[in-house]
Amino acid sequence: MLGLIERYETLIASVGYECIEARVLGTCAARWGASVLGELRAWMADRVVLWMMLPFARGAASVDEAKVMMQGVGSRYDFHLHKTLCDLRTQEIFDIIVDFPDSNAALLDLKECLQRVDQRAELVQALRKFNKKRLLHPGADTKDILTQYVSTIKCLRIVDPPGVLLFKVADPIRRYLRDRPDTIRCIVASLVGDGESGDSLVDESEPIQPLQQPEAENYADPDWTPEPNDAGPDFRAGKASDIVSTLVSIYDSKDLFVRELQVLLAQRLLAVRDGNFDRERRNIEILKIRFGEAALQVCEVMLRDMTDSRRIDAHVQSQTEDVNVMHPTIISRHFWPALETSDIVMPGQFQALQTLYARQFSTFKPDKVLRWLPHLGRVSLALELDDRTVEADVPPLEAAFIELFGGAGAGGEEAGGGDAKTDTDTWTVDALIARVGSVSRSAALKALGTWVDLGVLKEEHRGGEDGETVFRLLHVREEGDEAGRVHVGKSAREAEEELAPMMSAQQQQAEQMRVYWKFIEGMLTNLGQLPLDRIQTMLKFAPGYDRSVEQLGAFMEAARREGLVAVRDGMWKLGR
Amino acid sequence: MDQITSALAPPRTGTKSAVSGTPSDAPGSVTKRLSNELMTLMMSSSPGISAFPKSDANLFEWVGTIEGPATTIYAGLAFRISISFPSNYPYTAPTIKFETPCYHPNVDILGGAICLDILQDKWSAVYSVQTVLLSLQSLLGEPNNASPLNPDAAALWNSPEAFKTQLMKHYRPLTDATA
Repeated sequence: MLGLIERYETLIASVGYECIEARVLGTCAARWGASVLGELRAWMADRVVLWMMLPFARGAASVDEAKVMMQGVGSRYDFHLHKTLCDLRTQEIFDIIVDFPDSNAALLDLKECLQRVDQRAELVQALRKFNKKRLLHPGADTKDILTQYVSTIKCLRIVDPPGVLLFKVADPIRRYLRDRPDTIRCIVASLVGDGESGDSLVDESEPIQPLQQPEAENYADPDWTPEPNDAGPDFRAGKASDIVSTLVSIYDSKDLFVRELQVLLAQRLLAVRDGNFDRERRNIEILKIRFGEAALQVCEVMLRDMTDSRRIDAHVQSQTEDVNVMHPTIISRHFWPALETSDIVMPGQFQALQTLYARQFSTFKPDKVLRWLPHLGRVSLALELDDRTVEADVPPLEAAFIELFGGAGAGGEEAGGGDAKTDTDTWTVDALIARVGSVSRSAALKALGTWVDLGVLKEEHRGGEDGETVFRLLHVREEGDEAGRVHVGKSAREAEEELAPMMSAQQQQAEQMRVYWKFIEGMLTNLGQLPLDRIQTMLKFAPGYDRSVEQLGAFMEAARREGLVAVRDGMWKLGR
Repeated sequence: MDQITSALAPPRTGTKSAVSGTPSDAPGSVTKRLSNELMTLMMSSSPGISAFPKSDANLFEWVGTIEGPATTIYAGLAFRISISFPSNYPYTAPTIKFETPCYHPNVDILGGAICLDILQDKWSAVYSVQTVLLSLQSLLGEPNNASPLNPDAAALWNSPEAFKTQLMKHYRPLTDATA
């Protein structure tokens, strides 16, 4: 053969390589549903081997001889096949993870490729790059990031069961999630299976088990294996821990979760209107298994409050007939997250009802004091106007306002303080606010808007010059207010959503920070200027202080911008 | 706070003899009391008085700051004091000294020692750092000239001009030097 084979072997080989690449890219790109490796191998055997016979096994007398002659080049081609597929899947890895579990087959292929080709580092690098570019940016929803993170966990566990790859990829995601303010909320929401979000992060079929704590390695274990050789120094041999433990371990302590859980539970309990708490009870029971009985004791009290208040209510109702339109929820202040307080003073009949109820309550439970939070709740009322009856289910502020209008025609028996001379049919916004107590103007306008939509009130401009806006009660329906009705349901709902009654964990933190500020102020007043780390150690006198020195630094920096403190050469002092 | 202190403290009359016999509490409860007092003091925000432990290692040594009441001759001046709590606090009064020289009938101008009845024989466990600091602040405006530690100051008290001159001669404004 003129010795040409030796001379052009590299050329022939590269033609073979290109052929393989074209085949892999052409048939396998974006095909993750089925395993392609077997298919490719079959193709190699059928086509490439036949083709290879020509240049490489020309003089072979038998099949066995041909096999020996082609062994070297054959394994090179085989390697190249795996490498090409591996590169392809590495480039596609982000989308493969997005497609999980439909892309399960592709992951198994990848796993097999990685055993042939040592490209684990490339895979990690590519995935980190994609995550940074496509996932960890402000435009991505926290929920989506969490979903992708969970998928990543599941996918990489398939590719690399010991979890070294996962550890390396997950680290940036975890760090990013830690900085997002709503991460905990999202995780907790998915833990309790928030109805509307549909796909829960947690696999329903996964058995519920207690959170796993990282434990020291047990060298006496006969099944002990050393860490994989490409594991980093801080690699923690995660026993195949469940997803929830992994998510919770993003944060150093589970206390944060429990606190957020309380806020969430409080919101949901207060939103329940039909008195059916089975769902919440079930959730709490599930979470008890995960977080432990002790951590969720507070939630337990909250649940019991709900049943207790129904019992108490039943008792109070049996004592007196007069309050049978009122059914308060009685909660134990110390066990609930801080509820937003409000100074609304309910006028007229509502006030009378409250007083009456409180009196009954204090005879039933003499050691307890009832403190009303009148702005939470719902009022169902029927307004009897001259020509019609309007029934509505509204927030308390709306009810308070319409009560004030009630002097003449509305359903209130003792409304308006009985002052016949004042015109209780028309009110200015300011006058209404003055009667009800501290409500923001926008909230007041929104409440009035509800009634305007219902065609009960009408907004009018009185006097041309100062353009004062008054609201007038429509005793008789006016023409043209039909159009307003369409929006009723919507605006009432909006008004309700606006009132998120719970202080978020973040607000509570700000409240705590205020306490710490007092301590900082105290130490700077008396000890003169202090370096940051000294302030940090001194703050241990403040009860429950648990901030890191970085958090303190950020806080002090914020205080400096406010002009409260000044810093020079790393020494902080009061900015006087 | 009132409840805590009154629960801890026996009735005021005859406390001295009754209490000195009891063995001092475990140090833990003293630290707890001091922590509580610190918390109360920090959150009370009484104008012109303040105190804080000198270091995080020792809760028994505090540094305090007293500003002169507005209507008195000490208005606009701030005095640093040191407070040192005994191990059987609150059954024994804390030792309080002026670190900033204070020209005052009841304050030793050199050592800073203070002559105030509630810091000596009238001490009771119902007092706290806060009440003591408030007493000291009012002592600045209303000295007890009958038992002076500084007879010169007592003699000069009724001639404010001369008193102020002496006061300012001794006074040193607070510096930011780390304590």
